[in-house]
Amino acid sequence: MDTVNLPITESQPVLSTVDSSAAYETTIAQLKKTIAQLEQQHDDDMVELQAINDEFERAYDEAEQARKDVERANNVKSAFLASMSHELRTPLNAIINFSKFLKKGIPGPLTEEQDQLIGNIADSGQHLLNLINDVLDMSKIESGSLKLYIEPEIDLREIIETATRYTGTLLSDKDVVLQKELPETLPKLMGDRKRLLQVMLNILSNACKFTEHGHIKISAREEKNNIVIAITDTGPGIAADDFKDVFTAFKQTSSGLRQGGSGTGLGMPISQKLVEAHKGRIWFESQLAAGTTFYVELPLQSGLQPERSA
Amino acid sequence: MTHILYVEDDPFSRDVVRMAQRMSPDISGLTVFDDSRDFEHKLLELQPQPDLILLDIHMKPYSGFEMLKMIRSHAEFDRTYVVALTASVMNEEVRMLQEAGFQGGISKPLHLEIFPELIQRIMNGERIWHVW
Repeated sequence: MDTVNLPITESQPVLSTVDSSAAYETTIAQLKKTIAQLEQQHDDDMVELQAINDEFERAYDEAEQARKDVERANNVKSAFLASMSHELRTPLNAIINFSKFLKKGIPGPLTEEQDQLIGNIADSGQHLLNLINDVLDMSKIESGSLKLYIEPEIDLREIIETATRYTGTLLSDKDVVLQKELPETLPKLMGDRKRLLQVMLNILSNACKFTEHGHIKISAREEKNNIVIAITDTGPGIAADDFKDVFTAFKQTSSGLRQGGSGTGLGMPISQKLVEAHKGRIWFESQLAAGTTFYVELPLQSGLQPERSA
Repeated sequence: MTHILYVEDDPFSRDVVRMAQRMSPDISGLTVFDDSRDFEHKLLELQPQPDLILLDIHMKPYSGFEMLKMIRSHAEFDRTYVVALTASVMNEEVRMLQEAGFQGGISKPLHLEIFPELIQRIMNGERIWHVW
């Protein structure tokens, strides 16, 4: 910007009036020019500012539109998942339960082959149900809408007992012993009973699925304000190359696939998220041909807030 | 001993609960309504009166929510447990059941092995939300 030098008039003698008048004219002209320049500059700035403002508003509108699109897409996805879950569960109720009922021999005795085939139907139905449940859970986790129903005092012993009861049937045809090493009492902790049972079921059913001989041992102990649960199997173990895939969604370890594993590849990633939501940790140690141990560590003081009772 | 009323429009789901009853010695009787037409009238006529009512939710002309309201409008059913038996198990859907005043929820597919135990726990006053 130009600087304007104002003439100094106060100390000028009267005689110099004519000269100073000319200087005055010049100064006025200069000032006018400067003002015109400033006005032009201001107009230019305003135009530029308006352009920036327009661009900002456009970007804001676009971002707002994008946010609305994502929100709408998420709502569509949730509605789709809810409807898919409902529509698939109704026929699965018939498939799983009619086949289980037949397999129990209640309507009449079965040949060995019929028993085998009906068992396959029940297992396949159950697999499909697990898949639906896992996809729903993963979708909740991804959208941040997974909600824990925290109870103030849950008993991990009871959860472990229930999990072993549910999974025990997976070992009925195998030479595998299921052992529990639980202390008389374990301090109770805050948590979501159903979700912690889900974690135990995921780990235990993997152990049952892959272990052909030997034992599966579940132990729990209190350690430095945590409860540590360890589930050890004498299964085939996980190859070091596969370690990174264990907690990756939709990935099944290649060693697991070779063993005929038929999971969804979501059980362990979901378990990890659930344990982390409880402020805990999950990890494993494994050696090929020796077995695998999964550890779940849950803090006694997690700072979680219990739900109001429903 | 528990007498159950089950209201369900899907024939296979009705058969599943009939099978579950055969496997549950504590369930002394099971009455099944195939639809929710004339529900209130049929319920009041029912002999013996049920100890536990299992309601499907997505039904016509009356939904499970509407049937629950009808049940609760009669003082003689104050001590009758009303539990949803439904394939709608998303968080939001379960929350709606809880807010409507259902005393429990059991998800489809029914877990045949633990169904008798669930019924017993419900009859002991426990609020069961068995979403499987």
